[in-house]
Amino acid sequence: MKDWQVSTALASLGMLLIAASAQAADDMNPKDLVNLSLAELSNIEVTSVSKKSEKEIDAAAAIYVITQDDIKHSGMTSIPELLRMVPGLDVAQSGAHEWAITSRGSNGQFSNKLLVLIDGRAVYTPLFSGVYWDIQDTPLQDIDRIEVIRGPGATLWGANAVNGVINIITKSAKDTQGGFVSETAGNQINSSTTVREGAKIDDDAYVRVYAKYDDESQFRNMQDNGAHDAWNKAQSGFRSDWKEGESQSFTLQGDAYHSGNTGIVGLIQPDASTVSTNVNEIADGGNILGRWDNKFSKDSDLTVQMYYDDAKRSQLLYSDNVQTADFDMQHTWTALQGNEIIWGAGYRLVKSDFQANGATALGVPYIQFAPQSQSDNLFSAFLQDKITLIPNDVFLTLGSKFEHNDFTGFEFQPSARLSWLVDSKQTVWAAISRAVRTPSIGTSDSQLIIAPVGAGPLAVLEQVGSKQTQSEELVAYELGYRVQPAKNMSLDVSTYYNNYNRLLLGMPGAATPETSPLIGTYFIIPISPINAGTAHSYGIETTAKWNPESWVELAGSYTLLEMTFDQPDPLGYDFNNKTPRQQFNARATFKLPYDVEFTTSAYYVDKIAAIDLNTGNDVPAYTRVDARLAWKPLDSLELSLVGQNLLDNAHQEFSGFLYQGSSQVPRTVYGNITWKF
Amino acid sequence: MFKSFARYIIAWCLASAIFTAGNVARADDSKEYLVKAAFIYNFVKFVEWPDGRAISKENSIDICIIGDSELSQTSSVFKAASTSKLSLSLVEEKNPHNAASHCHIAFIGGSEESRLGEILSVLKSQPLLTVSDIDGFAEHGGMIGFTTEDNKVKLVINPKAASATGIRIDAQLLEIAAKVIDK
Repeated sequence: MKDWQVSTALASLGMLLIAASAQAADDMNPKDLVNLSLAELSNIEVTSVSKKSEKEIDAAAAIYVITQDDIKHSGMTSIPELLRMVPGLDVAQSGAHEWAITSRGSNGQFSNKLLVLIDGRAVYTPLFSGVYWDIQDTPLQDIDRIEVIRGPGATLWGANAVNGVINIITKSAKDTQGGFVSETAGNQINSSTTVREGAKIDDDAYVRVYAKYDDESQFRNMQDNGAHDAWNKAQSGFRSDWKEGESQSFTLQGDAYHSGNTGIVGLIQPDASTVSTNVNEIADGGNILGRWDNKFSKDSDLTVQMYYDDAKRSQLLYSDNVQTADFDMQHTWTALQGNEIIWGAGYRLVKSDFQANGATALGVPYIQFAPQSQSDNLFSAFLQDKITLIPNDVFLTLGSKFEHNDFTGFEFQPSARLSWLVDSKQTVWAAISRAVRTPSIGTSDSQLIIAPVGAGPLAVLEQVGSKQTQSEELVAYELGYRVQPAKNMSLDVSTYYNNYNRLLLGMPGAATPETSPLIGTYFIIPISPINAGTAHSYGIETTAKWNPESWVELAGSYTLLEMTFDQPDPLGYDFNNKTPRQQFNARATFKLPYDVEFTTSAYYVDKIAAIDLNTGNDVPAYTRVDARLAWKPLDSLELSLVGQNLLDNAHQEFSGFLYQGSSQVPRTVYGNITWKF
Repeated sequence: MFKSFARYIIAWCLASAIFTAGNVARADDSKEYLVKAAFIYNFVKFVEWPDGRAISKENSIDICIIGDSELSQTSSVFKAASTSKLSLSLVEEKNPHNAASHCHIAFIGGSEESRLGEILSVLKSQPLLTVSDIDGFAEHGGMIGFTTEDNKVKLVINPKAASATGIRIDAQLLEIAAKVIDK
């Protein structure tokens, strides 16, 4: 530990001690409360606790919920960063706006076994079935909660929810009334502005509109030069919620964004040299979603949802445009004593266009798509019944998803979950489930130059997509325990054993000679994906929360993951073991007198073995420490100062993506002003 | 790196231990329910019960909780609101049939959501003010429902349900209500 690290730690400890010696803020003195007028009472801000816990305590799944308070206290400024606190997830930032996030193993930019939903809208790019995290930019203040379910969530959510589901749920327009302005600036964030206005149309109808703009500086590359990944982004959107009578409710919402990044990157060539290349990366798109909910009776509730999403992106090697139209319905029916039946059906049409931008390495095109345009249909249905085996005590949930897609045809994804509510404070649960990941366009319909190999005459590995690929399969066995030993304390332990089959591996074919005007003769080795891989993993995830005093909140988690692949994979489809073995995090929030709040958090992430495609080096383990100090001089005004990555100038968290070098995540400091009116 | 992290954790544990030394963890005060309790105290001031149960004739008032609710943790508010002439107390009342005889206010806890209709039909003709934070309470025939809107506690009032039992809700309460149900 360097001297200044010691002093950082001591300073933190000092602040904790100051916090300890001060009296807790007691703005909720009963005597003061009873003297407030009716108008004053109806203006006090409270955090609603009414409903959140039920699901977290009873669910027969490994669930973690990030609340609005967690979001605020963390000081994080984006959705992917917030996920760092969730046990079982691996979050690595590989550039100023590039992320690799996965649940329970197999990380990559297009980590493809995780399903991400924003208000019920699936956000993924079908090229790799992965997520472009930089465009998932809902204003954090309008998020109600982020529910993260690790493990297969396929029964309700469908294909690609193999290792987890991240469900980002925004607040109802009713809960975001009035105006809101937030301005952030610091060493890495040049400026970030969010403006929101919420209005009441009548007693039963509400609306909000927002706009935000972010301008962020570049990171530094491994040689400590600028990484040329500075970017900016503008996004705007709205949400409206209204009711008709007592039983029907409607939601209409939408967003539109434009994001850009220009710079020069070193493009890695097949002969391992680097050529400086201009990039002009642009992402723009939008979405609109409508939802109708009708409670026919207290036993019968129908939800119908439709959305359309258009996402365009042009980047270093190619541009893509993906249009998605989706229809879903879900019906909950509880009239049959001892059964809670949920069933539903859906249809999704995905139209994708891909175009290589013609970049070549030594005269050889980096990437080619054939066909360049395609439409894919997905039909799905699911049925689930939560059966009461012993009233109020033991529940068995049986269900399955049935899907038909254009790549692999019919898919069947069943699960059985058992939960035992030992008493009102303890739950034991167990589950067995099967989930599949359908092949992406990248593994079925594209050609991609992957890497140079060997010495002597140049040989180029070429990925050749195959229509013959089948879905990858997972059978997962899970066991969990949740307990509230005291009213202010909770503990959650989840364990699992995963068995993967039919994983895609790259199979090399016969080399064919080619000629390039630049280098003369070279060889192309075609690599075709085949479903020959098997792997297994096990792990433990624990979370503990403790509020020793009404003004102190402590939370921590620990994650262990052991994953073994039975075959080597030359193409690295599954990014073998590219996930840290152990992770810890811990957070403490203190609500101090004079409306001051202090939060500090620490994250430890194990090394990732030999992940850097470009250097072949390990990504070393790192410790990240953040702190946030906030002061609310008025009910409507909050000032905060945040420091992130306090322990080091910069560290690497992941390798660079396709052909690009790595960026290091720097120390950042920023200030924020938030005003509500 | 791991070492520095460990040191950091130790610092925390130490600090937390210092905070809590000799201090047995006390029940978590929930701000939301403290505010709801303060509202209920105001109901005593702004609601008129029919002649037989008029507040002016009482020296103690029972606010009954039917079912489970965090409201049961807020007795400090009612203690603070009590005077030598009128004492307010929170009482847990399991059986709605017994509520009418001694309660002025019946608060129906969230645990009773599934039997709300049954409870309301038992209390319907009794001169007691029914209050709850179950969704759609006032719409389903309750008198005053709590909702949260923009993280603030708001009231939904059904004056007709109240007047049917001879209870009159003062205009000042109706004025601050987020919604008044007229049926």
